[in-house]
Amino acid sequence: MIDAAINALFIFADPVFIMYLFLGVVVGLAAGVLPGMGGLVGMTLLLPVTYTIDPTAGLAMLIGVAAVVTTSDTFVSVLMGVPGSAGSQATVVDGYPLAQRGEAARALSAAFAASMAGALIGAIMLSISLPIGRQIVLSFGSPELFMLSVFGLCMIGVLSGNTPLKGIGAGALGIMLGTWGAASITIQNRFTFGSDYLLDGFSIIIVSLGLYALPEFLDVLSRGGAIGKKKAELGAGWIQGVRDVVRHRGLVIRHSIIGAGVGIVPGLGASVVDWLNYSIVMRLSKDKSNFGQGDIRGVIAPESANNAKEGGAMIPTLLFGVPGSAGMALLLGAMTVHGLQPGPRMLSDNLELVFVLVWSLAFGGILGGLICFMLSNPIALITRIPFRYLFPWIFALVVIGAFQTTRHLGDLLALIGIGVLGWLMKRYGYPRAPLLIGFILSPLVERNLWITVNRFGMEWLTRPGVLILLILTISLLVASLYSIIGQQKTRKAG
Amino acid sequence: MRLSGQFFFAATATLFFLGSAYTAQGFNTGARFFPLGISLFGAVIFSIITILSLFSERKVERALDASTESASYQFAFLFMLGCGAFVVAVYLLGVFPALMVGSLVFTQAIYRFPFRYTVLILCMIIATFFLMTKGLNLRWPDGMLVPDLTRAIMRSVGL
Repeated sequence: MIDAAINALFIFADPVFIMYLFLGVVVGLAAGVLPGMGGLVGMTLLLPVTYTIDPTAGLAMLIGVAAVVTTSDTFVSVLMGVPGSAGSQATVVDGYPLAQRGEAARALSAAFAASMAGALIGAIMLSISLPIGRQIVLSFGSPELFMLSVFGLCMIGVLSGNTPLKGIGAGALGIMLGTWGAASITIQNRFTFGSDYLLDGFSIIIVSLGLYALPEFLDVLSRGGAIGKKKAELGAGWIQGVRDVVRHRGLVIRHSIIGAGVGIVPGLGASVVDWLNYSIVMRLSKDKSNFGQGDIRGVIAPESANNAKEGGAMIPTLLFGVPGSAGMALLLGAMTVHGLQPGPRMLSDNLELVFVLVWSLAFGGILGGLICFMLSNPIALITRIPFRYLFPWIFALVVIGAFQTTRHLGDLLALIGIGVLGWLMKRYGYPRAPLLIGFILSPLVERNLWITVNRFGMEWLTRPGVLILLILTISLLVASLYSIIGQQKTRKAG
Repeated sequence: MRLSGQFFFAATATLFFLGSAYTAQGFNTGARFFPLGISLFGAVIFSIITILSLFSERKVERALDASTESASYQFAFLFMLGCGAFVVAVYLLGVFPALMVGSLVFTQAIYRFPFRYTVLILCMIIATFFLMTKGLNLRWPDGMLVPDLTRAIMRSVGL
């Protein structure tokens, strides 16, 4: 394993490879700052590029995006008082008051330094988990992998929304859409309705852009104006922010570990990590009087955690093929296109690639933080541009990204159709991440179920690993049912 | 009991799953079992949501992965109508001319930007389009009205 880590470092030293990682980091930073973009849209736009280059460089480029989105979205949160993404909501609580006091630079500097440390600790956690996880995953067969996918999907459905049923429904919708097109296990075209376009099913690029890009464009455009209305000043305190992080190094390590730990659980997204860490730092602090009024610890804790989360989210993705987040689902999709199968085979056949991704996560996070430090003034300017001025260009990017998939008019029609679905889901409180993850996992789940049933008959249900996962899944669903009943009772009482 | 947008969305999803289950019965055994199982599961879940939505409040809690407020139905309808018109333009003119026309309409007819901004935006789109076309080695299909327009533009810039 150490050999693989060292060999990966040699691959990593290739200038062309670093150039692609750099491109990913730049796109990630832009996606975090530009309104209506977000990390998922950034990753999706780069997906077609990954198909044309070396798979290792392509995947590292995607990791570069994922590693830094939660770093650059801090600009919007601190300067404008509006969450730059779902993962930077808690940063607003103390970051914005600091900016109003003329200490935006201190808040940003602390956030970037904490993010860099978080990315590094997340990558270390991922490296440590590999030898441990390898022993477990190599003992898994198709029945366990199938059951793990079901457990992961239920978890994502239950935890990523306020209403567990809606999350599970969204996951089912995603799996269903994933079955459209030619069946992978037998010769049969499914749900094609006589259309040539649907023979290959929907592309992951179309589904991702439709679900996340169009609904955001529509909503941000309707709001008009820039992300924030006030002119933001960076003020002073760049050095002070770094000093704050050094002074609170214990806090950084603690929350990075918590962030990575939470990232391992599929479905616990960036917003959960953010608020969870904010509430923990508040509860464990002796002096709570400054929280909400510009306490630097309220910036450091969530920022270190949401960057470390990516390292944690990669653990189930690489080891078991169950993505920890929607972004990791896209990475999984890209791997599948390149013929790379995450899970047991990944750790035996492609261990070097796994370590390349670990290095990319650590280096990408550090690179992103450094760029934010160096280019903070121009990046801060971007947040002031009204979205309507950026919309034609961003829309063109999305159209080109979607239409290049097959260059069939169906690409654009599917984009709009899924865009409408995504907007309606957003409006009615359905989380979209389970749909995307279900869509990507659908062929894998079907294949594992097919192999399981054909090889083991009904005996697979008696395997210990399957039984444990089955009990966990049922417990999760029962617990979510209790939470629904509890919520209904609280509402009635209220 | 209230018939809200939530109700109609969940009811439509239930019908979609029931329709999928019906369609799946026509597939051969290997291809049938998975979509049929998921369809029935989805139909049950969305039926429950449909029934619950009859008794729930109109105001919906925002999902955790949504960071912005939703637009009004009217704005959403106009936006999607605009997207539909863009697809028609792509069909008739080809993707590059449609992007140019669409951007002009958006910047000049709808939002009335100062002309210098329109020029800047068009330049950014042109640069992005040719960069991506070259980088991804793409050949774009022609429009129906002027079949050779996209190809002629590509050829004129050496792509």
